[in-house]
Amino acid sequence: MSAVLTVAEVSRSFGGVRALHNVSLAVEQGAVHCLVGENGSGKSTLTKIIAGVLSADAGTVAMAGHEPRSGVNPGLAIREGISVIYQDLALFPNLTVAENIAPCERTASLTPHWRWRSSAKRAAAAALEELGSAISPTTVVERLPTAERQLVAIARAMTRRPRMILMDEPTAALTHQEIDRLLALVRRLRDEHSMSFMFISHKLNEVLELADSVTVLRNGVVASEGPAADYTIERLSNDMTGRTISSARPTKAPTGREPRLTVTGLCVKGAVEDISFEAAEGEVIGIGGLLGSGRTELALSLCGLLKSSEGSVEIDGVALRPGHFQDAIKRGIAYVPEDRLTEGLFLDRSIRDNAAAAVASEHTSRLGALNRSALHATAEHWLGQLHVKTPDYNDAVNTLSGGNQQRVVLSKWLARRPRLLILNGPTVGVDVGSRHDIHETIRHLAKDGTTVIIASDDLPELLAVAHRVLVLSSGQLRHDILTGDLTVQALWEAISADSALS
Amino acid sequence: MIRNALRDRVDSHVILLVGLLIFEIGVFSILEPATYPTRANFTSMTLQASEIGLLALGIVLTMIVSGIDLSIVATANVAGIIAATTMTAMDGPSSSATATAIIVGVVIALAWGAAAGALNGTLVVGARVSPILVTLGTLTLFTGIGTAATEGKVVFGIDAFTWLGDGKIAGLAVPFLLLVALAVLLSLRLARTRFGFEAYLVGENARAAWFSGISVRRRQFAMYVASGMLSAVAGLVVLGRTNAAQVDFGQSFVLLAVLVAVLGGLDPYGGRGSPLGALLAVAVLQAMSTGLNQVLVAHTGSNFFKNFAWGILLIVVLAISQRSRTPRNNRKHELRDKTPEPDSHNTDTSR
Repeated sequence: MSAVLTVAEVSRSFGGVRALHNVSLAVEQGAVHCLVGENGSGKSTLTKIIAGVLSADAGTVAMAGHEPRSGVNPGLAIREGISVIYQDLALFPNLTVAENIAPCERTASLTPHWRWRSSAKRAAAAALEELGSAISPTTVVERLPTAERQLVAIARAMTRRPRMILMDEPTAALTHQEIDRLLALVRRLRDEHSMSFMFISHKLNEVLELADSVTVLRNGVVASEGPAADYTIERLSNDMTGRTISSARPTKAPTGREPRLTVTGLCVKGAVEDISFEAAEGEVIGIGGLLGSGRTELALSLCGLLKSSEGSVEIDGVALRPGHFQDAIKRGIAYVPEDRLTEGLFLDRSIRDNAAAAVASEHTSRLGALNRSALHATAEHWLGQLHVKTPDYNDAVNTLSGGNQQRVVLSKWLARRPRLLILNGPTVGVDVGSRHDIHETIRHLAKDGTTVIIASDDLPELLAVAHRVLVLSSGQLRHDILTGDLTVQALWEAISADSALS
Repeated sequence: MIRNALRDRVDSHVILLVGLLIFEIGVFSILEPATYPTRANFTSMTLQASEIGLLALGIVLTMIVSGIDLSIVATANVAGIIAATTMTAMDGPSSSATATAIIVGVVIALAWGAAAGALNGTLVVGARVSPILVTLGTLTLFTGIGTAATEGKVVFGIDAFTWLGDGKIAGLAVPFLLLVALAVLLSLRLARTRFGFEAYLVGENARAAWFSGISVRRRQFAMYVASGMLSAVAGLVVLGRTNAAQVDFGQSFVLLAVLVAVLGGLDPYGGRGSPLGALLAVAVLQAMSTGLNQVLVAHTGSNFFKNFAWGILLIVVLAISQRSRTPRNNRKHELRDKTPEPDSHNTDTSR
């Protein structure tokens, strides 16, 4: 086997901050190379240098059979056979599948412009068929679910006949089944077409399952590298963080406490049917289930973001107004949304303002005057509690890494000292270290008496923090399992068991 | 401290505007020493700037919550018509009757402004129609109301009210003082209250604001009502200055007011800028406009180049200020392009 891509001693700094230092790696022909590292470890910078979007200060990137390069030239990288699928996919949501796939095809051929539409449709259909997908080329992309959009992005990349596809966190927004399908596709393309892949992911089990070889980045340098067979999850996370991350378990479940949350016969039309459960003070309850099981809908209806059609949600014995989020907030419920970029953060505002966003009312005089210094003090207190790492709280929150951003979102809510904290996928796209710290925070809150509900796709996460897991399927509560000695395998079986029937 | 101030884009923008203003006044004072740096000229400039400034404040407020109000001039004209009609009808020989007429006229005009703003607010917030479309629609609607009421004719006011237009306090024009006072008050309200803090967050990301428990709709609605009332004040000032109101007065002021707002550091995407920035922008434009007028009339006998030069100024200032915020806007576009996940999580911002 020979290397299709060789990265040789690449370094890159941004205004004195060293993002990459002497990074070398090689991707073999017909192999999957996984690049892992915490947020801010330099993965994205390296990706961009390989894609020719960013220049290297020193060192070179070379595709087999081409001159080594170090400058900015995305077109050249594409011609050399590198296709990059960015995390946000870079599709045009308002155009059809065919129109998204075809521009590349068009640049590669000399089809007359007036026959473009029909030839685009044919090219797109052929590209999708090659991937074994039945998406209609005339569908508008924004109507497709994330997993199918990803296929469109891959199909688009494939029309360029690349030698290597670089995928930046392709599985972050996918469910288990979709991930399995994506991984199978990658394997097929690798084995049948001898294509090479560079795969960036936070999900370490995925990395081990898929990779032929691994490079671990930490603070811009290669922390370790080698064949995937040499790695375990523990070794990966230790190499990434430079510290030993133990797989923690929740603290002991509280006993004899008053119920904080009582849910009785809760129904949401078309999503959740007749769900009843109680959660005590200091209890952490996980909600598990596949996409479409009603997991997200249950979490949303608990805090009034989704209107329940029947049943009641009571906090400390008083019923909430269904479908009234602001009422739920006033009653001490906090909801940390899944998509932190669009629902959790004010990207251009300072870190401090972000953490203060939900508590302005607590620092306002009767005349409406805002006590800024008190507000800032509160915000900074919670940012400190969550160890948000930054030189200056005045910096815009978008300068932070994903893990730190998620800590800011949590600070915002913890500043309200909620009685019931509802989390939806709290560590999606967050690095191992931050994930560990966020879990630690949740355990800590529970110990101090906060009730926590956590809806997550991430089974190890549920086992790490929840005392009980409610397993949903087809909108119904199928199991209510104590996590005590539960294994990921057993939980996965409980979650996926019923889905075959439905 | 200076580094912090410079790093903050708004402050650097203010420095840019202040620098430009001083530069303009210096250049024109040298070119036209006899007419430009005179008290009379400055009074006349402040007077002219006031109407645009008041209208621009409305744009500023709505832009902070990432909206816009294009109906400002129509609202102002109708307010002027209402006030003129009311005052003329109620005016009497006694000074007390005149005072009552003025008070009632002003109150009704302001109430009209609030109602017009409430209509805009309701349509934008409640019916969730794009602010540009809503206020273009109400612009036409309000113009129609004004035309129907006056048949397009000029309505005259009462003499006693002209104090608001050409009165002076301590040598300064009353409309200008009104503009400065309102700009300062609004800036304080935005900077020092919970309302202001949350309004900027709403402009930055309405969805995240809503998820943070902020009453997004109330913040947005309030801005439209305020914009309507500011427009009414502008209408009253025009009535005071010309002692007349007319439905097609100052049509070009709408775009000018938008430009003033953007020149003043407002971001059409929301969440940035302050009324004081717009005040500075008005001053910069007026100083330039008057100066060019004097220079061109003195040397070429026409002011043909005025709009030309004005356009260049706008482009230059915008280019300079946009440079420092390019990354931010790119990021916003990225976010906007990201389509929401097609599941029930996609709860509407303002429901």
